[in-house]
Amino acid sequence: MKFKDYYETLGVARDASTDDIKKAYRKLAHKYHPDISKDPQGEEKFKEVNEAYKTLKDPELRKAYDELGRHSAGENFQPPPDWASHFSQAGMGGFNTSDFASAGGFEGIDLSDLFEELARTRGGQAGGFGGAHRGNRTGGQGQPYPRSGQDFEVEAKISLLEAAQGTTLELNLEMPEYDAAGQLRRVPHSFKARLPKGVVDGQKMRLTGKGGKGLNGGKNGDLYLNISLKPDALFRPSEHDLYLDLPITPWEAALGTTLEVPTLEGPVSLKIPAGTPGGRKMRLGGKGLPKPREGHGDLFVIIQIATPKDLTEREKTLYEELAATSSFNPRSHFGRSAGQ
Amino acid sequence: MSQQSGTIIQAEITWLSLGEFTEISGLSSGQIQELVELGVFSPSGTSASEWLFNHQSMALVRRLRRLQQDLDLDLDLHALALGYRLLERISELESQLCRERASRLSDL
Repeated sequence: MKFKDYYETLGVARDASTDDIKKAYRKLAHKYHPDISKDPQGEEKFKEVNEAYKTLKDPELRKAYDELGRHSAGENFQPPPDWASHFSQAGMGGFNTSDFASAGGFEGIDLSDLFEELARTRGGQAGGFGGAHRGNRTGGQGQPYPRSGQDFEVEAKISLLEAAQGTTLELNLEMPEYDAAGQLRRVPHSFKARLPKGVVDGQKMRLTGKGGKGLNGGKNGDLYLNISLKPDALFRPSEHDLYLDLPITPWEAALGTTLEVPTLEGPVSLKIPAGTPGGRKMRLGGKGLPKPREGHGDLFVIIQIATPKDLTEREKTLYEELAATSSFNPRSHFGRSAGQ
Repeated sequence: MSQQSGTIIQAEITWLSLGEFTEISGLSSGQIQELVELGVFSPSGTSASEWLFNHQSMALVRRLRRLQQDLDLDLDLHALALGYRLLERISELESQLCRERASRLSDL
């Protein structure tokens, strides 16, 4: 098991008071919390800070942590032999502390798993908003009580086509669980989740009961999928609508034409009327992403007038001729003296 | 490997009943009803037994719950309602920004 220096993470001294720890945590949490921070690394940093705080804010857990001794961060270490006795008051069915510390008992798990377990086995989970604690309180001394499994969140990146057609995701997760011998381990889980068509960027989906296992008859936790769409080379999604840039030549814009434009369901013909200005949006109804129940979003084609850079002599002559002949003034609205 | 390997779980476009919403929000159904009366949540359906909450409400209420837990916030129902409305406003602005970006002509 790798050591983590929780004091260092919070930037406090080893003898810091609980108040100082709280202050240090609040400052860092405000800086890095993913719902507040704009720091792209915020989420990672917040996880570390939060993990450190959850252990150090609690006198009992902090004591257990201090007993692990001082190591440098990242160093491989084993807790002292009698350390697992912290778990003895846990009152959990099937949890054997002597097995736990035996050879290999701490391999393949994370320090955070250990403290989370220590915290959970002790007092039940305080869930919900202030004053809304639900059940889960420990009943009698040493009695096994039902505990709900943990909720997990997984980021799922899918392509636009997968969002349009629905897709099956292969999910590979590691969850801390007890094995048959009562040892806490990270257990790999793999399963497939079928996403229906019509999901959109930023959508959160809940897979009931697919999170951490409940104990002693407690409910399993849930698994949440945070859907995000990979950027597409052509289409930019906004909810169920799609946007596509359509570059056309100046003469196509002036004279009008009929063009083939790509959609998710293959190319369609689009008539560009003569005199189409750059930036014009043309709506192709129902050619966007499918909606979950029925109907589709729209596809908006945005006209972009592309100007050739390298002109041949002939092209140049023609443009010059046009310039000499045309009386078109796109700036007539500027008037004679702007600002008066 | 787990015994679940190979089985396919259908992810649904989430609509949550009052019971499910209670579960994921950690709020009591009384608190939720009060918040519906305040207009903070607007589930579809006319009576509490028919209420269905959409995935946006779920995402926001989970975000708020996470903030509340992570930052040790002591929120009463009014602070909660305010927090929810602000998160909702931010999320509206974000999707508006996303729409503006998508609909803006990119540089050639």
